[in-house]
Amino acid sequence: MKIFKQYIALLQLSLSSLKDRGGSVLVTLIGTACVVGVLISMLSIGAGARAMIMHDARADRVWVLKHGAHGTGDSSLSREAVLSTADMPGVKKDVHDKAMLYGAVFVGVEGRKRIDNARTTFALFGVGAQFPAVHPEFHLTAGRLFRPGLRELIAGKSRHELFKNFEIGDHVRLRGNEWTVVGHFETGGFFDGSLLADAPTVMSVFGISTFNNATLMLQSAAAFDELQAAVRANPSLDVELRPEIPFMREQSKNLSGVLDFVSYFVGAVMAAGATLGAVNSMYAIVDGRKREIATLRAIGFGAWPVILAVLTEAVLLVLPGAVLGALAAWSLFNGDTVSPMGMSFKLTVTSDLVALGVAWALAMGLIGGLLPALRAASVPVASALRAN
Amino acid sequence: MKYLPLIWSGIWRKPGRAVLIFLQILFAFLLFGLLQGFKSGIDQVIAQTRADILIVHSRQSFGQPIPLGHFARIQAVPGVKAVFVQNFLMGSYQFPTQRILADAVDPDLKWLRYPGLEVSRSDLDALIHTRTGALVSATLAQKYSWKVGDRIPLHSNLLQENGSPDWSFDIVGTFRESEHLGLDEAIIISNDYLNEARADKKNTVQHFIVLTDDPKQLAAVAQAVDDLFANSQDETRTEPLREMAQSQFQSLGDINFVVRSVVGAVFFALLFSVGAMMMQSLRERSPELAVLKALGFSDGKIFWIILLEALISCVFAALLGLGCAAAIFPLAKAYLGGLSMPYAVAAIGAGLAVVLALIGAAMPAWRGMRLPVAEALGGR
Repeated sequence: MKIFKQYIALLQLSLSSLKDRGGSVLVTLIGTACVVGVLISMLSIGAGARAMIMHDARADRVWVLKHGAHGTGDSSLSREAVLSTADMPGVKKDVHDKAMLYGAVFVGVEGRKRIDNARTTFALFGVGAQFPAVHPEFHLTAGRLFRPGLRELIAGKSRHELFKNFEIGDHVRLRGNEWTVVGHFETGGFFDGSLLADAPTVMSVFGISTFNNATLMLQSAAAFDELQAAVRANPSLDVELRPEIPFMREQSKNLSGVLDFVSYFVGAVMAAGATLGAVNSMYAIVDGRKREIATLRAIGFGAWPVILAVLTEAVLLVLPGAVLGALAAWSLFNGDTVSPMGMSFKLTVTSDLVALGVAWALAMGLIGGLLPALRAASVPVASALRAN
Repeated sequence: MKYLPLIWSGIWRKPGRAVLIFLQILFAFLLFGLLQGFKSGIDQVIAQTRADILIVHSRQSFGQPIPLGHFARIQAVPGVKAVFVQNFLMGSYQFPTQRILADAVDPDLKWLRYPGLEVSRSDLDALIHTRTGALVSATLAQKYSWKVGDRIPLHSNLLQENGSPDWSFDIVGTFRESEHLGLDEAIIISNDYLNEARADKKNTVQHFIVLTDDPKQLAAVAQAVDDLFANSQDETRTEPLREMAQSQFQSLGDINFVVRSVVGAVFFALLFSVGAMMMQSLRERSPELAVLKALGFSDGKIFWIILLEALISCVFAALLGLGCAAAIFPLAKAYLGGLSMPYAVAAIGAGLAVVLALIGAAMPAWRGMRLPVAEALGGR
């Protein structure tokens, strides 16, 4: 109890003298704000990519790849493999008793951005007729669906919004043929940055004989084991089942992993610098208060309340900085659309990121306050009182 | 010069604080060196890219294969000096994580002339005469201790005609890249062999590399090539290599903006730190400065002594930070793609350090200059 009272008294002393230490306070505040702001802004790129990819991932959807493939890019499935997977137990059937499964194939196509005419490659997916059934989150925002056998395609939300020549009725030249844009769609996630067309048409025009992957809807998430067992029991079927949520998480890591690494690296170097600045500021603050601390120690204040009070002060200095940085990151970048490498997503400052930024700031405050706190506690009473 | 000891003792008046601010500046410039160095390194690679090379690829997109048959027709276009075939086989060696790019070419003595590639006549001869031969990059040869005569297995998702995903190549020589071609961890194989052995995509290539006679005629040659295949199934797009390198980096996102923002934030925070530190130090040293003044140091000299103190510590810390950054570049090859930090970045960094010191110390130096001697001596 005594310790607590002393702690409160010391803290009051600290806070009341802060206004005379404007420079030191500002250094810590701004240093922390810059670190937290940069860290959160940079991490929001990776978080945005993850959010986009994971947005409509479902536990009852499964991606079928060739055994051993890393992703859809290096996977190839024969028509037979797709057809026999559709017959497996556990696959959901629609009202016409058709399996909710489609084979997909993708090719890269180029488009130019509206804003700066920059050229980017993105995916044209050739998908089967069951695509809308397997992706209930899919809906047309304008126009109609492509018709089988015709060179027609539909463009995802961010594709036609950010790129030229994907308005309904526009013609896109692919492999020496004109393709017509007949609709716009939105899924809210992964497919929004791509084009969709009829799989057999894409395969014949591009001379591709195999699918990249198949995607299917399960009767329920629990039906996965049943399907897995059936697939394993069929040795002629060289496929691998990847439940959508872990699969998408893995795919998003390819992209956001590098981004996150860079963000944390830059954040760590900046934080190291700012922590050194905080140490300096706290030393200055503590040094300026030597006599008061020595006086209190002389009248019986313990070492612990002194240490705790200085640490608390450091934390109180960095917290507003963290809030300021988070606020800056949120107001400057949240919701901005970026489109690296043919994808498009919005930067997302999530509450997790803000919490992370505050945690970094706290760590900076505690580490930065530790040495000054120890120095304050070990002020030699007699000489400090005599000084000046 | 004779004031150097004075300035030096001023810097080390409080060693703890001096070290802390020194390290803080060092970290800031380390980050600046890495980020700005990465950005400038990319610009340098683009600027060094040969201006007389065209890449012919599918109009569709870069990855789409185009017929090998285009070769002869492209070669006949006026202004074309040489055409090179380029195909890729992506494979892994021993472990899935050890990815190796096999660059399939038409083995021919003209590769001796290929810009940026250093290969000996005898090694190239060996590749020409060995169907399953491979030239390995000097880097890979060292990494896996490969030597001529070794047979290396590559596991690939590109299947052979017999359905096997396992390829093997006989090492017949080595090559080195003298310019950044992205082949540092690659092997060069014969496209004839790849084309015959693979199950799919027969008689196609990823792209052609066209060496032209005159960089000024680049656009005309590109147009002439694309006109050859206009309205066919396999339309081409012919672009200068340099432009492609540029757009490739642009597609990564606005690196410039990120670098500028981060560096801006770092220096903004640092400026406050340096300024506050100098002010603090000035307050504590008022009596000492007053003594100097009383001894006859002019106001101007006091101003310069304080300014130089800041300059020396800032520039020294900055150079050390930039040095660390330059040393990290070769170490972090995997992340930075073999870029190096251009000297210009060090120069810009040093300039920034000077600006930082001048702005940070201007106010304290001014105050020091105007210090009233009597009051300061009295400790008031």
